[in-house]
Amino acid sequence: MFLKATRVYAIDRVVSSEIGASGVDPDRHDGYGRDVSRAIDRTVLWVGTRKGLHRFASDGDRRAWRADPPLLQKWNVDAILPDPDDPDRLLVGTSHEAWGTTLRETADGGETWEESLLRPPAEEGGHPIHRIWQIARGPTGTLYAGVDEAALFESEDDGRTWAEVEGLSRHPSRPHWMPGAGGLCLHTILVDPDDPARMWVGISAVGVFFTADGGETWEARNEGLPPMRATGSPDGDAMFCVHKIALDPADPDRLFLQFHAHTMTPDGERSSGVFRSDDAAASWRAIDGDLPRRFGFPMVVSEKGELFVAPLVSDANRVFDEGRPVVWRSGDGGESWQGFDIGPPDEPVYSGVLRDAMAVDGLEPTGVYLGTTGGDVFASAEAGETWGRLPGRLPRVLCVRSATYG
Amino acid sequence: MARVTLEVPPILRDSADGDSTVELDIDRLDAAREEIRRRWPALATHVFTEEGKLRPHVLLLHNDRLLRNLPAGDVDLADGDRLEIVQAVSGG
Repeated sequence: MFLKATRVYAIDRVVSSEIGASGVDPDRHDGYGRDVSRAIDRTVLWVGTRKGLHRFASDGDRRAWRADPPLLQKWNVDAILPDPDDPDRLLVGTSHEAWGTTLRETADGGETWEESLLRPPAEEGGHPIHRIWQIARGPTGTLYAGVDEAALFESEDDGRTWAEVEGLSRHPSRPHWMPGAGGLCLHTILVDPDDPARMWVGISAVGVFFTADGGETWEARNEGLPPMRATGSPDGDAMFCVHKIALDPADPDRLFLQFHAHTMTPDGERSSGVFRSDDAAASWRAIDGDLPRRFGFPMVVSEKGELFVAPLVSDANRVFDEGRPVVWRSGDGGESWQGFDIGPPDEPVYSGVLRDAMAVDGLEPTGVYLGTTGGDVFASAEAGETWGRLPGRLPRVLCVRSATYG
Repeated sequence: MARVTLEVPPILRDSADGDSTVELDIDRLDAAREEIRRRWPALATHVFTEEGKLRPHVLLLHNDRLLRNLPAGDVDLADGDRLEIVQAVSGG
């Protein structure tokens, strides 16, 4: 059932409405007279954009937000990994159309950055690295980075040194891997929280790969997904344009997948776009029967198993339908869905959302965050049921990550 | 061995220890790439491709003369020569 949601106006009446404000004025109150001087860093939202990194901070209520000055403004901030214990530590992947890509780490909230490389420059035999799409941390602290051209790197020393996961790079299907519009990107890394030897990665426009031995060997796991010849790959086992995968943290055999939802027949019949697996990706089945649109990119799952997607019109029109951004939530693994308007009631939003530009936090109720290609950041402190817009219009939002502390 | 200066654009200065100008002790132009890779690996990543060529939108100037790429050892350098890394004008 589609629900027209009421909105959290408190977020739009936020204290620090001026982007660029530094710190919190201890005398400041939000629009409801509440003292927000304690609204420091309990909840941190990092937003990577086409020009720089933005940080928003709030308390556990997440009604009032502080916007900090932007960081790394000359760079695309493509991937973000907050430190789970220290709000001042952060690892990001940055890129620039002329100057290429590197990792950057800060230990002081972005005042200073240390740059690092996934491998030495001009190393012989390696695929070029055009962009770092994803940085993830496994349950035992191993760091992973997924890049374009598709490869997975791992670090056992907190990012000081990295090694390519050769078992994936040498997969027999590799010669037939073809890029999607965003490049040949390894954009999703999922690690089983109970068994770190089990991992899944998503590669566009290739498919899902799974390892049960910590990355030594990999198996394509795309059964039930509709192969698409338009990837250009001659390999029927490597033509799956997976846009995003998400793991149910409470049940690591259950995964969800946002697919390209492509045209399948001359009559214009379209494939399904949202899938679920209950057997660790060994097979997939469609769960998007109730969704009005199947095409999309981001997909996130909360710690409680709530699944969120944000559909767009189609592959030829990657914007919200009729200027109306809607986030759909399922609390039963995709068997049923509820849609919630997230945008302003009196203003259309003719933008879209990229695959990593939606995130959830670990608080109760679940916080949901979505950044658009038009530079808006929408936030819900009520598991998607009500939404507000964070202060400021940012550059095109590339990725969003939240973290909670204390 | 000649001591030449390398001017680093502002966006890349963090990759060169924060310096806008660094000094290289090299006698041929093709040694510049190896010296940059050795001393500032991140700077080298920003300037050169994996094949060791200048990135497509990166230019190198030698004493204000535009070089399309690093010639294979065909430019002698002298004390006081100046190299400059610049981003090519790209787009509108």
